[in-house]
Amino acid sequence: MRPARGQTMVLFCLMLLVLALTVMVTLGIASRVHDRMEAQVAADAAAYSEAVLTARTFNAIALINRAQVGQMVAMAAVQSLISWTGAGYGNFVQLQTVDIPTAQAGGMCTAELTALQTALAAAQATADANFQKLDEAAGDQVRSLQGSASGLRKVQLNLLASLVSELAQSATGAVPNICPACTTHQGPLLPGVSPKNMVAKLAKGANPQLDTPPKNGDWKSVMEVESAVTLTDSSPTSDSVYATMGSIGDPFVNSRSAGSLGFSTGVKFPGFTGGSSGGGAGFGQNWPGAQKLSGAGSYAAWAHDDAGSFKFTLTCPGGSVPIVSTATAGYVYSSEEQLTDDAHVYSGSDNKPAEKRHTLGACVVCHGIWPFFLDYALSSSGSADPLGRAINDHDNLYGQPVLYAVVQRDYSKIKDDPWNLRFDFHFTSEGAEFDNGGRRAGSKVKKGESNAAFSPYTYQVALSAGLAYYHRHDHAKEPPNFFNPFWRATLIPPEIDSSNDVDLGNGGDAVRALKQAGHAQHAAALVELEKHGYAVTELSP
Amino acid sequence: MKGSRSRAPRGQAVVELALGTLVLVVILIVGIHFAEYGFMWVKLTETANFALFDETNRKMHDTGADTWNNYFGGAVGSNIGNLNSPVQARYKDFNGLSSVTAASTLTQVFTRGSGLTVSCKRYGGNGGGLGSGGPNLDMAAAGKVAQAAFGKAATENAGLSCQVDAKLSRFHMPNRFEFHLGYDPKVIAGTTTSPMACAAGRPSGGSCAGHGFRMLLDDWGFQGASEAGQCPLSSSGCGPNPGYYRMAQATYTAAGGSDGTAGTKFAEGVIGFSPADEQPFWMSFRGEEGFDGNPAHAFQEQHASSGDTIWPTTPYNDPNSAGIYAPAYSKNDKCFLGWKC
Repeated sequence: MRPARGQTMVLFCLMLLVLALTVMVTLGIASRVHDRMEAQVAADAAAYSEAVLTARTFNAIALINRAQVGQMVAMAAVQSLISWTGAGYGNFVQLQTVDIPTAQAGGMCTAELTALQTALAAAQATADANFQKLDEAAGDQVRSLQGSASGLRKVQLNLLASLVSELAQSATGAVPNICPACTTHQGPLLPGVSPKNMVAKLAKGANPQLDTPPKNGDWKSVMEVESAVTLTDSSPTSDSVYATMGSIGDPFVNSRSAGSLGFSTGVKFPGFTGGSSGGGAGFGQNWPGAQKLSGAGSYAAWAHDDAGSFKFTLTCPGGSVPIVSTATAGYVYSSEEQLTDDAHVYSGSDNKPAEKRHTLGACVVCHGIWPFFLDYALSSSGSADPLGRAINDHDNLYGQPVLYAVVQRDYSKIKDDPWNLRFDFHFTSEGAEFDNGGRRAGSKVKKGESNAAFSPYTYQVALSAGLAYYHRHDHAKEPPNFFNPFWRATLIPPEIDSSNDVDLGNGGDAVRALKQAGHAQHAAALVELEKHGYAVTELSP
Repeated sequence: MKGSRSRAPRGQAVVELALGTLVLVVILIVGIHFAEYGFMWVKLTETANFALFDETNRKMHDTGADTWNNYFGGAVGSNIGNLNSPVQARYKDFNGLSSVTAASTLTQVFTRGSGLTVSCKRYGGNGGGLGSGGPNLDMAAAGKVAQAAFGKAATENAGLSCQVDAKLSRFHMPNRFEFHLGYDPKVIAGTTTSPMACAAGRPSGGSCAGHGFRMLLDDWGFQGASEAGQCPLSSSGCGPNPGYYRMAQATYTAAGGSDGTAGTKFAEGVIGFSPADEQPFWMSFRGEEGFDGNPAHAFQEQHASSGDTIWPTTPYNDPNSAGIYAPAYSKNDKCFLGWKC
């Protein structure tokens, strides 16, 4: 009987083989850990960058809104000057017809009165010569201001489009629609998305192996930005109107009082007092001359001057002669081009109708003259926003956009490292498979085939979320808005605004982002983690 | 059977044990080395992560002084010295604890890490020497108005790109210690004899250059106490927050301002003088303090010439948003970042 020699050697060699493989696995795991950290850092950097770009956009939009407010303040000033000048011109006209009480002067002031009347006639002639063209030019300025202010909304939209084009591009390179009122976002946004968005750009900069999922397109980020914006085209808000009224700082424009800024300082007729007995400028229907507006239903830019008289005391050797013109008022009222209720009321006649001289541009959403602008998400009921994101919705972080970055590494497309051990095996009778190779050899994702058809190990996926948030130093309770440039960027737990969904065990926005990216298995894994308290849905200072 | 003694296989086991132990020990050494290598490798990524996100806490601009990208200095594509040096000093020993300061070489049992180098460069949105096609908020395309507000910052789209590399070499092992099991630091390092390892990507030509974690910095938001002051209604600036007024005014001017002075000319031409000037940029920014600190006047401005008229110059309680902003502010016990105030 031959002794069983060599058995130990065989076993030893097998043991060495297993040990050697284990050593390979050591480096393989280290490599995977490094890859995972690399992908996560790239995703974090991309998500933060998305938040930075969004905050920059919102800050620029806020400053542009302030500029627009400034232009509407200027419009109020010009309207005031038109009204006041018209009212003063009316006083001139009235002075021509005033019954100068020569009898009271006893004939002793005849020469002075004659000189005054001559001077007034000359001033009247000058005013007559200037009035028509200067009034028309001022009306043009008002209309031009409306155009400039409206043009700012185009600048805001350009910025928003630039932001959205970085967040996602369609397959054709077109910028996705900016459509906050759409009932569904996926339709217009996702005809197909190329991996050219900023997440892909940044991730590839770290390692060419990294990319965004082909089906991703960061639609979620675009949707979040859309939801934070209210286009006032279809949903008018008065935030800008009230900010404008509060920013009219010149007392003459805001609320001139009787005599305070009348003609007492006039250079042409020193000594005259009076003029407008009060007035002001504003926007809308409710103003002292409201009777003009009944039934018009139009928001307008107006200014008015209450009835006042020129008063002058003519002093001559024979005594003093008080001269008072008949009180005249004036106003200017400018509405949309389609309406003909525009008016410039004063004592005089126009050679061009006021509805032509003082009208504003044609309204798109009638009635109204206010320039469009971008306002923050304003919806208390969710009716204006298909997602119900609103400033008072704590669960949605008050509508502040959470920007998602999904970065993946497709191991089926990259060259294997020599220490990687590729094997797979079934471990349930139903066919569940463990695939340590991270892929099925030789297999490729075919067109139209879901990523889910492959092993979850095929794709290394990293998810991160950034937040563009509004924070004024030491005033963290102030609501987000598009009128002040306090928009900041930070990273945020991905499920921060999905507490309800997470509590129900359905998974929130982060899970939806993974699903949308085609990583259903990763999404399912995240749901299971969240059921065990993994998700952070509330921040603590 | 006498005389037919068979020779006992003596000593064979010793030889087998010696050979086997040799192979076993070698495999164990390699295993330890791999574990050490992996530890140091991920430390490089950790270092890059630290370098990136530590910078988000920096004061990037001063709106009052109109200076931007203060922290960077230098041209796009250049190294950010005041970032690289402290991070490198912190991580040179492969240990991020600032309380632990060791030599710049980490020697473990079979692995030595040395020469950890942090290379964060200023990254422009349009490439800046680090590759084109970076993320870019296209202020130029949006128009001169968009550019006016943020001045120089608008054309830079500032960011940074961080790469960290180090030499991770075998230690206590012969230089020609090859196992032909597929591993060699050169494989990780690329094609050169320098066993470099990178935080991002794999080396090429013995260098980690060309790759890096890229990130935009500076959200252009007003930050800190010096940029949070209210701007009382004025056309001559804002003492508590000078940058805000200046930037809004620049935007207003770029948009055309008052679009001329026809209103003033009308008054001057007809009456002889103008009681107002439509050109100045008037601005009011009120926060929750309001114009007088009264909570009832939060976010509202009062006109100097008519004390009974107040208006919200930050959205709050105007008719369209009264049901939204005011309750959101007044009833919410949460700060708008999500935590309790």
